[in-house]
Amino acid sequence: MQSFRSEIENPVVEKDILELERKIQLFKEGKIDEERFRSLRLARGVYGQRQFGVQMIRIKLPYGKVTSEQLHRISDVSDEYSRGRLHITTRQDIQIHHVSLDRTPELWAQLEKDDITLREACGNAVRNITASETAGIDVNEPFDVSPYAHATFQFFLRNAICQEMGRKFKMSFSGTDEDTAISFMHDLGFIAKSKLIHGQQVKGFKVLLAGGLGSQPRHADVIYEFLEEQLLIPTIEGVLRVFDRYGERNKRAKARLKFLVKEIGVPAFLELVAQEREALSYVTYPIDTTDFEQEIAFQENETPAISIEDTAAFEAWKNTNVIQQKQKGLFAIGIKVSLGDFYTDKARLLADLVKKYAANEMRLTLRQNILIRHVRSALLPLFYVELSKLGFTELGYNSTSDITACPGTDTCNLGISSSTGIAVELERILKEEYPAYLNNKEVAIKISGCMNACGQHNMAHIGFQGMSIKVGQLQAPALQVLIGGGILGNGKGRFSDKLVKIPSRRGPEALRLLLNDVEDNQLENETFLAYYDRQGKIYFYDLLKPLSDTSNLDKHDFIDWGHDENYVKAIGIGECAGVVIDLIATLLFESEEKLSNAKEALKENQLSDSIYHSYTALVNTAKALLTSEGIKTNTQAGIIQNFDTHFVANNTIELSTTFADLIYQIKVEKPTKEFAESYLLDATNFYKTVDVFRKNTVSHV
Amino acid sequence: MAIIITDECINCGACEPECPNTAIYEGAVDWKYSEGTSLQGNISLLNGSKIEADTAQEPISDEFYFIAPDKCTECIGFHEEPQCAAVCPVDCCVPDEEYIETEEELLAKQQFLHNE
Repeated sequence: MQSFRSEIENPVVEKDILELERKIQLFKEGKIDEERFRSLRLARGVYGQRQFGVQMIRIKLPYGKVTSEQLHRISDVSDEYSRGRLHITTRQDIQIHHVSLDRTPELWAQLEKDDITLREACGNAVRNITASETAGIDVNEPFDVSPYAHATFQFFLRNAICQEMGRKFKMSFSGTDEDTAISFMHDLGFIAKSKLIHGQQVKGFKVLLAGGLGSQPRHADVIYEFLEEQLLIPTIEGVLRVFDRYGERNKRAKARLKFLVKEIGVPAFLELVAQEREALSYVTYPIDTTDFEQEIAFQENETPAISIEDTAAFEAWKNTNVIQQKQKGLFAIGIKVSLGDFYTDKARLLADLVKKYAANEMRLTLRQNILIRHVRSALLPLFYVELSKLGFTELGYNSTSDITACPGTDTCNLGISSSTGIAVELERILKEEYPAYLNNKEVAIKISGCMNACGQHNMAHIGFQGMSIKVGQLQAPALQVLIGGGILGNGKGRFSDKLVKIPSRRGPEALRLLLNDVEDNQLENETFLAYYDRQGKIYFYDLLKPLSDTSNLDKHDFIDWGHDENYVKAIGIGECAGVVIDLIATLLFESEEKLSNAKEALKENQLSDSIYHSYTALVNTAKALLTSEGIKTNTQAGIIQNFDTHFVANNTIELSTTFADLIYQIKVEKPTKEFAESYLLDATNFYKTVDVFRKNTVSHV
Repeated sequence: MAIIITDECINCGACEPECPNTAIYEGAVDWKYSEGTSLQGNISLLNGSKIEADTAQEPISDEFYFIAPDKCTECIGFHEEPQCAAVCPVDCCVPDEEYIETEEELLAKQQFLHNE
């Protein structure tokens, strides 16, 4: 069973995987708390699912990049541990389902053989870094953002400053002003920019802060029009440090960065970031891009003779699914993957094709598709024929008929009603009744099974969100219809208006009403959004309102799309953030772990890491005492303040300075060896003081 | 009638930003008459009781989002239907049988809250 142990080459990864295995064992023996264990497994990509006793595994693929070898590996893992299905997410990951918890360490070890990680794919961590799928090949891009997305992924993976944040943190890189990575809805969004400084073209980014979707969407604020590339990593580090310290931790629904920035405002937030400058591990951090600038190499240079029988179909496919690259003579091929689901048998054949005739690289896209890059023009017929055999030449890549949907009630605990079922039905209707939309790249339709918006329904032109509706004693599956969202470009976007709630079965009728109305009344050269604005929200509300009448439902209306039994509402709670257990003993035990991490990092000369571990040990120890007194511990900054008020000011705990002065040395001292050592000593002594105090208190009770 | 959030609430928060009177709060959060209204200083409520508009009031629920009935006008004066109910994904914002009010009373409440 443990044969995988000896096969892991990277000691850091090995330690990670063995720790997961050990913690699974302790959990099974009832020796660690369930909530604690949950937060550990989440940070290793192991998520719960709607079906009891099995796990969803999220495989983290930075900016969706995947090689032939990696796709083979993922397919092997899916066949062995899951059910042979691969699901592409809207954040360029792959998810597999129905995995047994016991086998997750082994699964992870398998993936690592091809440099694929699960680390920090879920949980309160820096999530997958996303990027425009055309990064590196886009004719309009000032430069390739891939190396920057990659460096960001590498720098923050396992980084001490972002291991236990109050909530998850999402970043995206857009290659052009078209902003296909949707920067305005990310915690940090970056758009590539080039600027002439002292006669030289300098690379940099427009930077957006604190956007987000979910039930309370927020449009990100522009914090820099142009941030030079070597300041990218230090800026992110500063933002993460501030989020970790000031972000809400107890109220999960208010813990994302957008709520902190909304509360204190952008200037105050940036001021806090500026205060972190001394503590940063690097003042500037130039990023090496040479790995991404190699000449494109091909395995096969022969062009097999191919005859296309249906040239009209071939041309139509080229028209909707093939993109000209900035590299002369090269093309990218989009594969429209319905609902993001594909299967290992075909994945392997695709991987082989890409390896032999393209340049061994694909990108998984934000719209749950696959983009093959570097296809020579002479080979387009071959790709067309071979991809057709796999069913991968369906028209309409990135078109209106390319509907985005989260898994919804199929596998997700949080789903309220079916998102995939209605997506399939709407795609069918578009294909049969509105074929013009197969080549419409303007209007996007997106569907989520609940308000959390993994399907990004509230930033689409047309969106649907899963709901339930009461009809007397019965519950029917329902959809909220939203209109008027979209990416406007260069960091601007619109969230859609929530128009009306209708029984799910009437979703197709809602789409027909809307599209027919647009066809009848839209002016020539008027965009969809301009038309929506001209008519106004009330106009569309009135148009769709008749569908919301529940007085005339029949038994069909109580059965959700893709089901044949009556709808049952079953909503679990989210797992993204494990509820924090505040047992004092557990907290103190964790402080010991943090101190030992600090010691270890110091030994490895990882100074910033060591200092940060000492910092979190100090916070955690203070939190333990505050918790024992029932005092609020919502944020780290609050803990520090409250500790001075309740323990230091009245000399209950005697320190040589205030606790704030002690702990905030991290803000004023540079990350030198001397400071790392003295700070660790301070943290250790503080822990000892608190431990003695705690033991005395307990023995006197 | 005021609207009440039932224990079917899944704490998603979709209703909170929709309320034109800031009557909706997250569970366990203190609420104030002054928030989202033009009420200030010492005020007399429509039922005659006197209160300080800026004083923190006890949360009505610790577990779920809740609506302060004194601030709920069922969206009268703002919208055609109660917005919280319209956006609630699980249909758990329902008329509160304990706070039955006529349309005139609701309109008066709306004017009271917003000093019109």
